Amino acid sequence: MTQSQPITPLNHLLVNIDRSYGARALGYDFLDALKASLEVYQHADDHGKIKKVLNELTVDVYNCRPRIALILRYSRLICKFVSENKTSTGPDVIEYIDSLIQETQQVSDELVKNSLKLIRKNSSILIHTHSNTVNRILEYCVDQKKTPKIIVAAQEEKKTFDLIRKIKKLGLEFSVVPEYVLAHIADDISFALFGALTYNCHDECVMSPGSAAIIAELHHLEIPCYIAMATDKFSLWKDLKKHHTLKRVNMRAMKKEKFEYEKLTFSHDRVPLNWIDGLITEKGICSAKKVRSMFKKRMECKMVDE
Amino acid sequence: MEHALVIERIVTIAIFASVFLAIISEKYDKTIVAMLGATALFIFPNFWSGDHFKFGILSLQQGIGYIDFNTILLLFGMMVIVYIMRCAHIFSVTALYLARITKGNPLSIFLVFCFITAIFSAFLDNVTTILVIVPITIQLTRGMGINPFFFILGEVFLSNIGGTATLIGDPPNILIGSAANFSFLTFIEMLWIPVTASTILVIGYLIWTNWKEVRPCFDDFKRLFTNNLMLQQIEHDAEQLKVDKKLITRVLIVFGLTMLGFFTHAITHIEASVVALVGAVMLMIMTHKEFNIHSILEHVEWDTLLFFASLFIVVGGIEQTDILKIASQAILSWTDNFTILLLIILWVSALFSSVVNNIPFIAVMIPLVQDIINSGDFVGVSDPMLLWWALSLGACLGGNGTMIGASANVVAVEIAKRDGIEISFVSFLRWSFPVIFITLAVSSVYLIILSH
Repeated sequence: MTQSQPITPLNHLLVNIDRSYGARALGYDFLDALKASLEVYQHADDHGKIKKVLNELTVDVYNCRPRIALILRYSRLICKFVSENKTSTGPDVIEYIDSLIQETQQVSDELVKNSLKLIRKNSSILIHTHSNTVNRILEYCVDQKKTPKIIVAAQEEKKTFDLIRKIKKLGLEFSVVPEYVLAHIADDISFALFGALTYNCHDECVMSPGSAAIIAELHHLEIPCYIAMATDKFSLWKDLKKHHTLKRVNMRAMKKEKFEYEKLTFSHDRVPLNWIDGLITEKGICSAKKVRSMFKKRMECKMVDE
Repeated sequence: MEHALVIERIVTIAIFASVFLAIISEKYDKTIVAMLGATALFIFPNFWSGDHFKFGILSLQQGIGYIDFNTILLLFGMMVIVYIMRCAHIFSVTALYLARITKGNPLSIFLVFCFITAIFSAFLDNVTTILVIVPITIQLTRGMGINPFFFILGEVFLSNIGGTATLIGDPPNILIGSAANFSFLTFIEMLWIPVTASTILVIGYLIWTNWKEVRPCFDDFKRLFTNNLMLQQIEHDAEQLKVDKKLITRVLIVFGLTMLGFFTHAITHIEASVVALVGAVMLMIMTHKEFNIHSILEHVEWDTLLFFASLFIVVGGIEQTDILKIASQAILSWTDNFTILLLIILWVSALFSSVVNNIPFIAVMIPLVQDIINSGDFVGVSDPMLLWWALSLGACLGGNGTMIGASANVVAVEIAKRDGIEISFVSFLRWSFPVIFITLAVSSVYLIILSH
């Protein structure tokens, strides 16, 4: 693939949606937007033009920073479909996108079903940040009449409130505890459940900020930690640069004392896979060893495709 | 005694002129200035009034008598209604829904958002409309990689044009409607033609001059895709609004009934202020579980209401001293041609409105126009009431003249600045000059046709 300058509006949009609504939501948005665009594209009947614009889009997605694995996978699959089907036009691609959406939903359903194996009667699950996958797992628990107790590790007020609202809506029993005093309630936690953005070639799970500290503490306290993430979110590329975490410096003011100070925020945390007790995927609850092997296999498949 | 009257006139003019200059200088808050002027009329030592010394050019009762409570209550009622509608996310939901139906086409976005701004502004206040529409426009256009500058300007222009169409669309119309006893329907009947023509011409002009930015992008896949992805994000944002459909239904029913009340004035003869007040009270009762009354009342712009009340008193002082009668005679002595008079009022009020706060100007023009109509000098002309429409069109459309011509302009520029979009006085003027020229030309033609 050729390198070009990142397309700022697209890059900006992808990162914004990912941060605000999660990678899975972004995945669906990406596919829906592609469908909507193909429906009105003036040259939708011209295979050559369709192939060209989709290839260009894949290059743009590849050049985005940080690169988003799920989106890159979708663009590659669509490009592959168009290349393999020499007469395919807009409506064919739309049909293929529909099949991708369906496949994604199936993967997601399988993952949710697999998570139920962990949940026993009177389980107390610790959750931290909002994750669409974790939310779906809790919804499924309620559907299956399994009602675990939820412990919310409280962080930023807005995010904690959003989490509480969702749990309340599901009718689950819950308690809230500040994220920095988890040691006091260690005995009450059956396991902790997290969502993640991706798993990468550095053997790390990329997660919401604040997750690493909690997982480290729970790891030390020997409380099991699980991450729910489908394998289509794996970052299937070799990245020499290890840290893509974005740092932001915000100015905060002490109003009474009349001075300002810098407050740092980070886009993500990177958690070594070794700290995790299992990755809940569509293929089951996988150990670190199995995850590594799956990653390797998928990487090889991708190389063959390319 | 005549000597006393002259001094009284001089003092009243001095107070009014000081208030007027202080307001347009914007050094002090306009409400405080107007209140100072009103209180000065109550306490100014009056040595010349005859047999005995007294304080004040106006008594308290006289001052209160000059306050137009129809205007004050109409403003109060609409402020409450608009605040509750905003809290129920009605405007945001509408804007987000409209963004979805544009399917990411820049031309559709421009057209839909400009038209909705004009419609919102006609029935609600312009500032609220801009506060809702401009941030969504910036988000949409930025996400699509389009410069939001010209979209924002289009919305500002259309907000002032749309506000011209109804009795409640712009404060000058509320003042004129109350003074001339015009109904809600009368405003629409008389102003829909110039407003519609101005809307079409201004939108046409803006599209023509910015075709590169707004041209449909059905042949540009990258742009199409980015636009559609942007719409997906906006849909997520809409989901985050936590919209209560039942609440929205209740609020819309009351709003609909309020509008019905305005439209049926000719049958019911219920004042617009009473209709707005009843609507506000009904909404407060029907949403008392969701919105605390204290919170609603905190968001009423009391400073604006006090400004209007104080200004009525200051202008009342002028009226009491017959200065306006003298001024109206002076104007009539300049020309006996009714059409020319109409055009003078239209263009002069537009000029004033484009550079200064138009409320004091309108407040003083109202009794002046009333005097001209009552003078009977234009008995032969088709309709002397056209002077009111010239005043309304000039004052409302004049808001488009400069960046500081209307509150909505200032608010839009501020929102844009917050998002890193610089709209300077000169860059605004470059676009606003042709727009104001088009709208005033349309109004002039309309008034000329009606006057013949």
